[in-house]
Amino acid sequence: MDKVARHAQAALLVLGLLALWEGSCWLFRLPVYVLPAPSRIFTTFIRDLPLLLDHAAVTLLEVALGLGIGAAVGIVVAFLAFYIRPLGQALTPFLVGSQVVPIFAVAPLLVLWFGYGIWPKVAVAAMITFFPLAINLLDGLRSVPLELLEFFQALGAREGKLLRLVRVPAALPFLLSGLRVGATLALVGATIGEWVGASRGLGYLMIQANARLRMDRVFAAVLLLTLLGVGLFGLLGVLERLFPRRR
Amino acid sequence: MSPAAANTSWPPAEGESSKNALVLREIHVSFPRPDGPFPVLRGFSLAVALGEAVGLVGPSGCGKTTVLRVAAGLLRPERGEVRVRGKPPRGQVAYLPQGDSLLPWRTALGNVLAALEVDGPVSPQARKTALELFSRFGLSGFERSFPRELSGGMRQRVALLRAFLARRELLLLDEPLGALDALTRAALQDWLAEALRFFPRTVVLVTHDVEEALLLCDRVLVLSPRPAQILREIRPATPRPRPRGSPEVQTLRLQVLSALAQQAHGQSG
Repeated sequence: MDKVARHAQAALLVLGLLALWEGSCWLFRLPVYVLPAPSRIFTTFIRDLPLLLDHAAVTLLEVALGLGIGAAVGIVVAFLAFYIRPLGQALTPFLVGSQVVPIFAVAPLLVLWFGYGIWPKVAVAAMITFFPLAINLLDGLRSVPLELLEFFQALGAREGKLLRLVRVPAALPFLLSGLRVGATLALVGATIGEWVGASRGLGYLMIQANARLRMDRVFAAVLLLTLLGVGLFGLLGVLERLFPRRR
Repeated sequence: MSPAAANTSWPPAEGESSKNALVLREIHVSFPRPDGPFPVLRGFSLAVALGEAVGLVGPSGCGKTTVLRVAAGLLRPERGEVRVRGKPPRGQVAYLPQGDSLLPWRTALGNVLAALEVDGPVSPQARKTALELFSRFGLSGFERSFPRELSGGMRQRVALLRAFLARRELLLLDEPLGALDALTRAALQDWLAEALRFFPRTVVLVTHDVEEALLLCDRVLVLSPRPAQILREIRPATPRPRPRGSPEVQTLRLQVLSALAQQAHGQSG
């Protein structure tokens, strides 16, 4: 009941803001190339849907590849940093520091190195995914409570057994929340990569539409990107709920 | 304590190393501190005979947990010798650490089976045996419950059952009932006595509860404050488990408490 009320409240707020937006556009006669009205964005979204989906498929492919590569490298690095203590100590400040590096600034370099195809976007998505995932997983591996491990260590469990019985299941929720953060960031990363130089993808479509003052199409692309982000976040949220942090 | 009872009393005297399940000889342990090493054990020795149950009581922070971790092979002493049935300890000990040691992502049954998985794949037969023991030890209906869904008493039953099913001769228990309320604690003491009858083991039990040690153990050792030394050794004349209200237990309880109090007084004076 309470939950329904809260959802209703949020929906009302959104509807109110949309109405305000729509009203202002109509009242001040704002041209489409400055600010299109929500109704205009919506009709463009429906009309351009085949085109939008066509480009979204490319962006999603980049995100999927970037997420996969970033996650794989992140997992390997986290385990290496965990087991090789000096490496972990050397790597931790680097990992934290590298989160501050604006990937946007590196994107043009990646285009220079990897060309105009999907690979520079994949690289940006992978780099963006890698850091939160590696840090989260390393954190998860390091924070396994000692009393969970010691029972098995005393029984003579070797590292492989400890990994299977304790460490991996204990760190799994951390890995998944890292992946969840990474997935939404990867979407942003791929779009940025497409802004810098691409011939397909939602980012490319936005740049093209922007140059032609088709702001309704820019907004339609933003709307679809938002929906994709929410969908990705929700999908990984379901995965996370299957393996909750039970502590 | 009549002499006749003392003569026939079990366990056998120390010294026969072949009959000892656990031997700690001249153990030295210190922890690093910014202001230099901090001694926790200074030449601590202990021998526990095969099948014997020994209780360790002493002031908190005296090093009881350290004794168990050394005996379990989890902490290497700077000096001294650790032998479990004549061999290094690692892999031979079922050690129940203080606090919640159950895996929160596994069910009660899953946790118990995890102890068996250390030694290899679990056969359907072993699984069936584990399930039977759940009902025998008051846990039927909770096989599929996760630890967070169980009461504190139930959780400790699962943790203890897991330690028994691990099939190790030496069982080290660190305050297994420490976090429980008085009523649950008394019930679990009876439960533990029954479990020890069913699974004969050599036990070292660390506890704050003097009565608990006297109910369940063949021998109770009173430890000094850090670095721990054995102050007194008490061997009740009657075999364990002893009835809660027995005059023997009450008399010995007072003896142990006065030994602890004297030590505390001596330290503060």
